[in-house]
This record gives sequence, structure tokens and C-alpha cells, in this order.
Amino acid sequence: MDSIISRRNLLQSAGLLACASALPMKVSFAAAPTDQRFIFVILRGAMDGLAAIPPYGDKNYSSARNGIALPKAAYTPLDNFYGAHNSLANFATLFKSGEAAVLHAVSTPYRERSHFDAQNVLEGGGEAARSLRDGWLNRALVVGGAGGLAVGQTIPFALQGGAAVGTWAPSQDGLPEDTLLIALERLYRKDAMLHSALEQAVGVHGIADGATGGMGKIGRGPKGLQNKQAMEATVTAVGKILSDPKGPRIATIELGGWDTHAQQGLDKGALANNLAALDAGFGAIKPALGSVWDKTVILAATEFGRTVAQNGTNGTDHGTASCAFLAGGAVNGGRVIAQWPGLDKTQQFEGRDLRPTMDLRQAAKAILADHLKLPPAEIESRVFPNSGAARALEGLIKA
Amino acid sequence: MAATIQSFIAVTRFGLGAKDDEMAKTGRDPRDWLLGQLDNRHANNAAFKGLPNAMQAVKGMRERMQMKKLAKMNEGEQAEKFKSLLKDAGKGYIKDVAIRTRVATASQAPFFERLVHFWSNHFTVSATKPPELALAMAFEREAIRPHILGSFLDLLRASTRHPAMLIYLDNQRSIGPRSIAGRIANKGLNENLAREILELHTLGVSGGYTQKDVTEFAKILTGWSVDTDDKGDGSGFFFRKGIHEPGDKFVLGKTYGDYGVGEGEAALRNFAAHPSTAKFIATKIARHFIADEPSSASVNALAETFTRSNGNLMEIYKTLLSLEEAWQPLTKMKTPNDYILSMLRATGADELVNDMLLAGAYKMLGQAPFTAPSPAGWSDQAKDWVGAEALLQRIELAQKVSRGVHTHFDPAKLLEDTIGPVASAETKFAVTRAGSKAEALTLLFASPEFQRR
Repeated sequence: MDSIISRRNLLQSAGLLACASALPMKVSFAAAPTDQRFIFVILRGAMDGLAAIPPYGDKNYSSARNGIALPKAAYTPLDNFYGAHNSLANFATLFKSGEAAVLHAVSTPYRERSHFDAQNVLEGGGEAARSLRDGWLNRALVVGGAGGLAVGQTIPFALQGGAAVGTWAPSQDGLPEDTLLIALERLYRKDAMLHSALEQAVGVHGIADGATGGMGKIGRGPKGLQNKQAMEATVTAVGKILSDPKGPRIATIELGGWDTHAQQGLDKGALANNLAALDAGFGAIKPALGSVWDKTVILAATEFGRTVAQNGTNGTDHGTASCAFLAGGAVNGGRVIAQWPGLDKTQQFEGRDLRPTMDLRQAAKAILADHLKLPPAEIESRVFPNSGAARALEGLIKA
Repeated sequence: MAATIQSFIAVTRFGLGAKDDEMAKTGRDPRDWLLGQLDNRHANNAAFKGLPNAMQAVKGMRERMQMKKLAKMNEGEQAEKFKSLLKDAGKGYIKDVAIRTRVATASQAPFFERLVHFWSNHFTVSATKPPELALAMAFEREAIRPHILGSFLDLLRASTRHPAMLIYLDNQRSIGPRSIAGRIANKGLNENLAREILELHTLGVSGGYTQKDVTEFAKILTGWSVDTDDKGDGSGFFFRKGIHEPGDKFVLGKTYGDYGVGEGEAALRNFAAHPSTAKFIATKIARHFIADEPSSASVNALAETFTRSNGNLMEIYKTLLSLEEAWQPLTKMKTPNDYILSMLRATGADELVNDMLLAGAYKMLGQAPFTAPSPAGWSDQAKDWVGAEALLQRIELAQKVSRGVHTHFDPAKLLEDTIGPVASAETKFAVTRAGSKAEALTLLFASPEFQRR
């Protein structure tokens, strides 16, 4: 088997990589304009923030959550009001060492309860579903000029738009023969979509195949990450890709399975398992990033939360506010950042959901401005247009 | 007679890809060839004989659940028995997928089969565990296949009453809080099915309903449940009066009195006749058959037919085939399901491999039947299928199939039979000059013309 370097050279001489210059920006990650890293983890399906980070100090917590309030043994206190679900042990450790924080009672501006519209708002960054045509992270790439990477077979809406981004998913097989790729490159020249996909495949695998060597077969795509081993292996590889000096600076990871309408469980069960998969990612990412950890921020957020009370089937229905996780050496952590709205029926949103008191874009803006050093005026006008009311959170990033 | 672009579109976009010399069979007006396939005798198929129906699948699920409980208490024999039941269920799914695949690849009515897959995806049921998958596959055979040539309401009703849908969207245990059972057990609503019917099956997310409508409709649907005790009509549906919410309900400006299962029937009737539903269904059909972003003129024409004909699906298909925009070539990218089926129809490779490999192909490309990631079903847009990794997987599969079948084919002839009317000079050149037959077929199947429809 030939080495990746010679493979890349061969393809380059055949024009596969050279033709990249015809397009605005490509996945050759050289000379990235920033050295900071940002990972956006999209938790699809509406994570129950009241179970992940239980506000045990709220006097109404147990009664409002009726059957699904976590018992004392099922969480670790983070401070004297909030706890972390036992499945989030790695996250709690990072929190206690000041390398992780929680945003609570947070949501996008979306106030209805469709998963798909809500994810469109979470990823588009607008005021309403389908109000913007591309993803906010992609617009941030356009402004900042860094390289982006979607972990998975396809690109999530958050990273779709004018800046070209790569996709990468763990694979056992690597690339097909060069002769075949060269022939296909010719056939795809008139089909922009296939051509760009092929180019990205060749570009990204150059880095990733080295990073995952000997990792063995693991699940593909968002669904495949819902177990601890797959998440650990994937995050380890992603950490290596991001720590490569010539690698991408911004990445997305998707994790589904949060739509716990029935049999949600307490310290064990469907939600606990999903939290454990997410937590495996928090455990694996720091060692994988190595010294780059100090330059990294991770934001994990969901499209909306779930009802405060349990429904008729030991689960929860679609709600409004949830919590979001921040981690990374650059995070000014050890804090739960929230204006707690309370859980009394009268304090709930529409008498059923956790009331949102923070706009998720406040955190996103702070990361773009204070961490990735994007000009605030550009963030306001191009990344999050018409979002003036959502002011960037101060002090989120270590000075 | 040389095949025309119209015949290519008929067999590829409306059908499932050319089988043998299918393009030559479409005749002078390919529309007549397509309409001739819309016959209810295709609803059943001898290959389905002996597969579990909904009632049997539900029984199987219950059995396994009980066995699982026993297995937890008893490590030895029961646990072994449970494991073997689960293994059987896994084999059942693979066999089921293979049968579904072979029905599609053998079909002389591929337009009918494509419509089955389209509607089965519109009314998505999805499962991750083998026992539930058997029920999901029964759903397509029982709720979808017999109804795709009737009215939209028939289809909606059959889907909503089917145990697979009731279980997938949690309705079987949604309990009216003021019903007898609700008051005794202090249990309540689960609004999952009610919401998804409004959002994904009928009006669409912008169709003009509110949270209140969802909650009230959920009350109407309480009691729509699964016949677990053999008390119903054999279909698997059972209305449980004891958990149905009493009193008046108000949905989309209409009042539904207290008349049991009839409330839900009336609500579905009203949703099916709603203008938002006409628009929503028209958009989905246009997106599937015309382009990822179809023109509003085409969508409006379909919606008008929907409204005028009270959701008569045959009339809607006729309007679809009459639209000029539907006959522009290569506007749609094949989904993995389309891609696999068209490769199999072209080569007959499904006759050469075992069931496990067939089912594995879908998994490899990320579209294993009845495992859609959400109730919205699989995407019908290219952007969700054509990533770098996804493309590599397609190329890899094309290569595997080609290596398996290449000795049986003349690549130049297969190119003519499958994409002849739209093949570019570059593709023809590459396929005829390839270093080996296997490589020639791989290039054909990986070509843009073969990946699109």
C-alpha cells in the first residue's frame, strides 16, 4: 500500500487537488488565520436539561418534576444549587478544575416545538426557522477564514454555506485506488456537487487516515456515536485532526437520541445512556487535543428542552429552555451561568416548560469574539444579523 | 428504436432504474407506460407470503419483552432463550429487507414500488431493535401498499391506526387525564403522535396550528391503541374507551364532542381536507419527483388537484406526469435506496448474493430500511446525501457490485441500457476505455448520470 503522501502527490499531479483553486475556498487547511479551536456539538432530539444538570436547590424541583426528579444519589452537586447527572462524571471533573461551565435556562429564539424547525434555528442562528439560508458557523468561517470540518457523512446545516468545509467519518477502508479517483474526477467536472464531495474526501482523508490508524471499525454518522466506545474513538481521532497545525480549526459533531418521550429513566435508562456517551466525549477530548486543549472551546447544545413535568408515559414531551455545556482549556469555567427562572407552575413557560432567560447566541457571540477573535461588528452584521438584543456574555473565555 | 430522454426519465425518475431493455418498452408515450403500472393487483405480492402481520409482530414483541424480564431474573436457560429469540428477530429483519428489495428489483411496475417507498417514508415508522422492525415492515405492507392509489385520507387513516405508528409515536399509552384510568392511575397525555400527524403527515410545520391544537388533538387520540388481547378486528388496532379523554375538544377552530373513536376519524378527515395539507403534500411530491427546490407553479398545480379531487391520489399522479418540469433530466440525486435498487435492477446482483450482504448495502450507505433518524423520515434532498464520506461509500459499493458481476456484461451495452440517452461523451469514453470490465462498470455506476435520476 502506498503512503498517504505519495497518494496525495499523485492526485495533485493529476489535477484533483490543483483544480481546487477554481473554487472560493477549499479544504487545504494550510495557513489557518487563527490558532484557536472550536467544537460545536449538536445534540439532536431535545435534551432534557433539567435531568442533565438538575437544579436541585430549587424548592419546587421535586414536586414540579413529579416522577422524574433525580434522587440525591443520582447527581453530583456542582455548587449549592445545581448538580450534574451521575452519567456526566468526566464533565463534572472538568467543571471542578475550572475547565468547564454550564449555561442553564438557555434556548434559541425559537418558541414553538418542532424538532426540525428548532434545529434550523439552532444551526442557522436566525430569529425564526428558515429565516437564514446558511449556517452561523459557516458564516463565521467566511468572516474568519479558518477551515471547518463536519464529523459525519454529511455536513450539518450549521456548517453549510459559502465557505467550503470538509467532512470526515471514521472508516476502515480509506480511499479507493488512485486510478479510479482520477478517472472520476474527470467525470465529475460538470457536476459541481459530486466534484466538491470528491475533492473533500481526498483532502480530509489525508490527515484523518493517519489519526485513526489501527482504531478498528466503529459506527458511522450521528447515530453510531450513541455508545461510549464509538464516541471515545471518534473524539480521539477528531482531537488529533484538530491538533494538527495544518488541520481545521472548527468542527461539528452530532449526537442524536435525546427525544425521550417514554421511559426516560433516572440514574439509569435511555437518557442516562445518552449522557454517558456524551460524557465519554468529554473524557476523551482533552488528552486527544494535548497542548491544543488550552486553545479550545467546546459548546454542546440542543434545539430545545423538554416539559418540566413528566408525561403519561414516564417520559417528557417537547419543551423550551434546556442547558448547554461549555468545556475546554480556554473556558473560564467552574460556574453555572444562569438567571434561574424558577420551576413553580407560574414561573414556567406556558405553564409547562423551563422558561428561557438566556439566548444561546449570547454564548456563541462571546466565543466568536473573545476566543476566535472575530471583529464584533462582523459578528453582528454577518454571522448573527438582527440579533442586537442578544448581547455577548462577558467573561466566558479566560482572559 | 433508440431510447429517448423521456424514456430514461420514465424508468429512472418515476421508476427504479432500468432493468434489461426497459427503456425500449416504454412506448411512444412513456406516461401511458407509467399509468398502466398503477394497478392495485401490485399491492400484494407472492413473496410476502408467510411474513408476520401486525398482530403477530406485536405478539412477538410482547413475548420478547416478557422473556427479557425473565432473563434478568434467571441467568441460565431463560437468558439463553432470550438471546436466541433476539437473534431470530435480527435474522427476520434481514430476510424482510431482502424480500422488500427483491420485490422492487423484480417489479414490472417500478412506478408503483417507488410510490410505496415514497409514502412509506412520508408516514415514517422507525425502529432500532429487531422485534420492532418486524412490525415496521408489516406497516408498509398493510398500511401503505393497499392504499397508495386511493385517497390521501385512506392512507392517513390506515397509517394512524396501524400498531407500528401507534407504538412508534407512543400513542398506545397516552392516557386521558380525566378518563377513568387517568384518574385512578394519575397518568396523562403523550402528545407525540398528535404533533407529528399535524407537523409531518398533514398540515406541515407552517400549516397554522398551535400548541393548544396539538394538546387537544392528543386528547382526541387517547384510546387509539394496540390490540394486545385479541379483542379487535384482527388489524391490530383497538380503541380503549377506558383511557379516552371525555368532554369536548377544540382543534383548528372545530369542536369535537364526546363520541369516542369517531372524534379521531373526524379530525383526520378535517386535516386531510385542510388547504395546508394540500400544499404540504404537493410540495413533498414535487420535491421527490421534480427537483429538490421545485417551482411554485408545479407545487400549486399539484395542490389544486389535491383540493379539487378531495385528495384522490390517482388524479394527483396524473397531474404530476403532465407537468413539463417533471420531465427535465437528472435534476434529482438518487438516495441510497434509489442507488442500490437501480444498481441491482441493472445487474441482477441481488440474485447472486445472500440476504445479509443485501441488507448490509443499505447500512453501508446510511439508509437501512425503517431506521430513519426521526419521524420526519429520510431526506429527499441531495445536500443531505452527498457528503465526502457518503460519496466514498457509494464508490466502494459500486466497486463491490461491479467486481461481482462484471463477467456477465458488456459495459458499453449496459451503459446504453441504463443511461444511454443522457450519457456524456466523457462518461462514454471512460467506460469504453477502462482498463478492465470491472473498472468500466464501477465508472458507469459512479458516473454523475447514474447517480442522478
